Amino acid sequence: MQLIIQRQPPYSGQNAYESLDLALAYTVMDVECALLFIDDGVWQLLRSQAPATQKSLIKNFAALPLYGIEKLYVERESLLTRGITTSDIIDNVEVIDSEACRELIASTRGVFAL
Amino acid sequence: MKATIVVYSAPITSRAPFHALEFARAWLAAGHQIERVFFYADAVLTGAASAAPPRDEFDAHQQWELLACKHDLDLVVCIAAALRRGVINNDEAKRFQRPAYNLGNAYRLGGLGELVEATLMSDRTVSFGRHI
Repeated sequence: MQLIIQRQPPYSGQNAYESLDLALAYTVMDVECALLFIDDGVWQLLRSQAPATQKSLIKNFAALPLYGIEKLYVERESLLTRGITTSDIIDNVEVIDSEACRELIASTRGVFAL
Repeated sequence: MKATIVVYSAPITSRAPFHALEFARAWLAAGHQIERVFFYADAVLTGAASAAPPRDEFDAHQQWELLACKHDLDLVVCIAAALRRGVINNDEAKRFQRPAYNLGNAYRLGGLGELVEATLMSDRTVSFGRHI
């Protein structure tokens, strides 16, 4: 399995989109891929985002299962320090603590953090 | 052992292309092989032959070119990321009717599939970004 780590906020450049493109490139070639959101990357998961001019990440996330990306993880501590609750973020994201993040990274063959 | 090297961050505004180059040199010196070097996101700027840093400063484009020529390395610049940032070869310049191209001869444009393919063929994938 490959793990793409998202640690940049949304709509601050191409980072979020290019990380997703990388994940899709793996699944298109039948390689399992998961996403992990940590640090400011957790802002990408906010339910109530309505970008005025940029492409909506929410639509991209909603389409991920169609491409075979079903595992989305978010670090609990990153949410807590930013005052974000689980009801603020989109569904189907598994909240894990930093110890579990470490285990996830350690058990993954390829790790990408743009 | 075979490695794929991925670079994410730009020359000048980051040290990623430099650190990746130092790793590549050490890896080859240790007798290992490099399957492919893939420049993604802002690192695609490494492929721009039009950059002209002062002579006493590190020239990422030129140094990667030298290493690639010496060891016959496959330097691939992500085409989608490159087109967004103005790194373009002759074919794409014609296709998009741009006034010039700037991709260096030692580099070629390719898709993300080539990164995926290379990582699957490699024993190790080592990536270099802003955070290392």
